Amino acid sequence: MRKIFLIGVKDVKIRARDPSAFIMLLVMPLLLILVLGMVFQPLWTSTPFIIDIAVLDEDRGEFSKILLEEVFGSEQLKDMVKIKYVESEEEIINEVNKGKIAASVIIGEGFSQSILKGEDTRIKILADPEQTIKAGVIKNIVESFTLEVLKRRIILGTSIGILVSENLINPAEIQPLISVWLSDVENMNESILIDKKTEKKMTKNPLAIEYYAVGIAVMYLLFATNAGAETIFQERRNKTLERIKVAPVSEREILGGKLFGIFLIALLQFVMIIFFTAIFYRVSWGDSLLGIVIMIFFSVLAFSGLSTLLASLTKSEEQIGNIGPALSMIFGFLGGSMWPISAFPDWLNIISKFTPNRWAIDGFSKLMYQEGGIISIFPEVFVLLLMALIFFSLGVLRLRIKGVKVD
Amino acid sequence: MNIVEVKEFTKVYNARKAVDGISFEIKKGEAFGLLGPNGAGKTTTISMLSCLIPPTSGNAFIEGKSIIEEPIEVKKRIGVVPQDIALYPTLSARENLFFWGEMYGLNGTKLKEKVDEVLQVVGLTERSNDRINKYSGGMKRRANIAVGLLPSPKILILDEPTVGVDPQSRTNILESLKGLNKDGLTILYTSHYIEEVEFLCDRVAVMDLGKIIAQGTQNELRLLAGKMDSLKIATIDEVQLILVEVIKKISETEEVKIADRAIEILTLQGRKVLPKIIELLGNNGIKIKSVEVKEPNLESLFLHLTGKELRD
Repeated sequence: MRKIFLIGVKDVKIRARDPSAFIMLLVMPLLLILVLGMVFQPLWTSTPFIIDIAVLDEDRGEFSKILLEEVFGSEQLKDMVKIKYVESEEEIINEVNKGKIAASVIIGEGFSQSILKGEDTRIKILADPEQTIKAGVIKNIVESFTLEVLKRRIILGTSIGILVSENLINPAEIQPLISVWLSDVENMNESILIDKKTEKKMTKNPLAIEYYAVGIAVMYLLFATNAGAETIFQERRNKTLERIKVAPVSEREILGGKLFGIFLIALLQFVMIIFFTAIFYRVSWGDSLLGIVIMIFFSVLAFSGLSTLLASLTKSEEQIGNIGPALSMIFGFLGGSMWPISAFPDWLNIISKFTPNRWAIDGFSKLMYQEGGIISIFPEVFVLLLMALIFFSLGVLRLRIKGVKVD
Repeated sequence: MNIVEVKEFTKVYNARKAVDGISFEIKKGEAFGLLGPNGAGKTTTISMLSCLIPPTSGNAFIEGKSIIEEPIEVKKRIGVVPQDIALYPTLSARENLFFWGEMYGLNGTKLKEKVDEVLQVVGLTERSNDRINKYSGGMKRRANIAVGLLPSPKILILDEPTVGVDPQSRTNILESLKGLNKDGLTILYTSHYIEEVEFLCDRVAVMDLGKIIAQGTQNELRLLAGKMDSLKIATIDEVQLILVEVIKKISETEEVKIADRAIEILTLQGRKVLPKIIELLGNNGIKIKSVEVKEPNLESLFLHLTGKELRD
């Protein structure tokens, strides 16, 4: 293990002393983030953050009216949430599949009556998995609404029960009380906004510089891991690979050291970009430090695997030097580093799922805009881990067949 | 006691035998030379001995450890100085030595002491913090050798370590190695420079086309080359054929040739007969341009055994 660590650290040291690597791996992405962020910011802010939703209201009762007219129709939300009323679930599914709506809200028949009677009921939300940020906002609003309704129902039910059992109130007087209660509920949109996290997220329009901080940092990960992978060929060219092989170091340690070096170079680059953008560009990477650490780790792991595979498929430093940047650009384009996935047509959207960029960007976006915490990024982490395992397995297998050869 | 035993080493590349069934032994404390022209199979032999490439057949043992069955044990016992400068150019000599020392399992104070020691041996202490890419060719070579000395090897294997080095650095390197050998370090040295092998090595194996064509001490090999000295006298004036018979008589040899204002003589006592021949030529009014006396050496041995010059 010690030799693996030492080989990796040595590779980082060598890379750190290469001025061209410094420019390529740090200066370039930071400049690109700044330029793209500044150039595209007017475009982003001039486009309002609008969430299109479909609503199937089979209830048409007091509570559905409150949700649709008083909550979604409130001053704070009416310009952001655009409702399309539909008549069936099929219509909703059709709209979701077309990508025209971010989410749909289905309020079943007898929803309001069930609340009044104290019976269990539900609101169904269908989300477009491609528009996670917008769907998340709608989910937050509906959850806050149902929570408020539930709280008031419990308080009122308990209070009425006590008043009746203690003979302090005549059952005939209950009805006027319910009217008062409903009036309170109508004003609950303010309560929803008390939840500051929800309010922030609902009103926050992602800044261009924030989006590109994630997108470009992820895209340049492949540049960094490729730079690490190039050292395998450099060792061969400099004959230092021969020298390591005549030292008492196993082939597994040599390969492990080289892979660790790839990982370490990319990790340092990514962390430095995050720090720099957070401090100097004021990019908010989210509140979950652990979530960020996890996303960094698995993103770097996936890209390290990809570069290992690339190194195993190429024959020289020049080849990896030519193919690597092209691949980074293609993956950056397909994976959403250049512009948001939501702007992609369906077919491109599907292709993007085969790039680690897409999953890394999605994961970071969740932490930045939805504040979903660690649990919310599990799908992205799982896919990145899966990609890392596949890429590393294929890459290492091929490298071992090639045998990190010197002759 | 033998430190190295090579038995029937063979390496075949694409049906071509780069090394063809060679065997030799190296005793403890000995400086052993592998001499041969480029392509003779010296580097392949060393690569197999260093566990870098496996032999097609045969085996070798370092202190009784097989290069095939116990490569890690073998690697712990050898220091290798490759033909190329195998160092990281953007790291300093000291950083390189620390890294390589750690690869050999050294660490802490022991590593630091060893790094200081080998820097002293190769004379790079003062420039040890300079990056390798700032070094001259000779300094790079010395740093390259320093890495080979780091693990305190039982045997130091050097593959043409002076290629491309200026004469002064070359002398420094050879004298350093001679000193290390005197202090007890066993050395296996390959070169196609005869004078280096003659200066450094006690015993020599001469290789050509993958085979060892002769091996033994330098004296043993000289005897193989024959006992005749070779005299070559270049003249300004033409030499009359009539003098050939007189020279044969003086030199006590039949091997006298006159061609293109030069006399070539093969004789058992070159230095003894030379003054007599010079006197004879002077008496006949023939002015001498230059005189060359060649005693039997490894070059003439190689010529004798293969019919070609070592540097062909």
